[in-house]
Amino acid sequence: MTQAGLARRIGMSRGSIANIEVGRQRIPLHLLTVIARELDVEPASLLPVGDPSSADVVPADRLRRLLPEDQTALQKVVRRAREQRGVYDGEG
Amino acid sequence: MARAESEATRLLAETAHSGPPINVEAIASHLRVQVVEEKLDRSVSGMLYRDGQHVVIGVNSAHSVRRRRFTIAHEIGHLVLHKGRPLVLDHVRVNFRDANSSTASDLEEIQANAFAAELLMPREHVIDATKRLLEDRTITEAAVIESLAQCFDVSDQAMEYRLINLGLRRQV
Repeated sequence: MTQAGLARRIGMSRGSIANIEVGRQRIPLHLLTVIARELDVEPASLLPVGDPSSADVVPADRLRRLLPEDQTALQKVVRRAREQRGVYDGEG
Repeated sequence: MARAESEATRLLAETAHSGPPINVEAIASHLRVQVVEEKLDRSVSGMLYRDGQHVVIGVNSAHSVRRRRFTIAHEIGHLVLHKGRPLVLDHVRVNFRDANSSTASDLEEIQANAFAAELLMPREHVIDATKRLLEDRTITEAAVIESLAQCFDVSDQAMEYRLINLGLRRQV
């Protein structure tokens, strides 16, 4: 199914679908089930994998070189910094 | 070492500080650095992390205010002096490294400490304050250190090292 096709069926613009796909636009929860039904998939299969509160806070290759307590410290600081900024601007 | 101190002096002039105690958080925000306090493993004193567009200094909230101030100043030192390192993690040390340490990372720690010392305890201010205190000829060495530490809002230990490095200790 094309973005335009899906957009037409659920009454949204193609641009919105494109934005939702790459994570630029947030959607209300009910829309997830509507989109999943149109695509004939489980809603969960459309969600990003993993725990967003811990994943991708710091790139894995950078973490791997640190001691466990340093990994924890770095993750805590980066997460708190992002919370304070009020944005989740990581890759995830 | 000279560069560490001149960079600290330049930064103080830039932020138009008004004498001790130095507002280290204001200096961080002048540099658009976000300071975050978190309870961290006690072996960790602080860190400097370049997170995409953002520069973050993390400080261990379990440590005392005076120690945290020094940590922030130390991390600002890494930021100003050691460009291009995405992550610096600093650990608690019993003693400051001595000047004979030779690895690159030791050298960077020494530079960051020298920067932090000059930022929080600017040479001229310390000399003036010490002279004033010594006008009281009965004052003890411990009292001088304690009084200066309070004035500059640093630990007694940091002030004692500062006095030694400025060659003021023997007068105290």
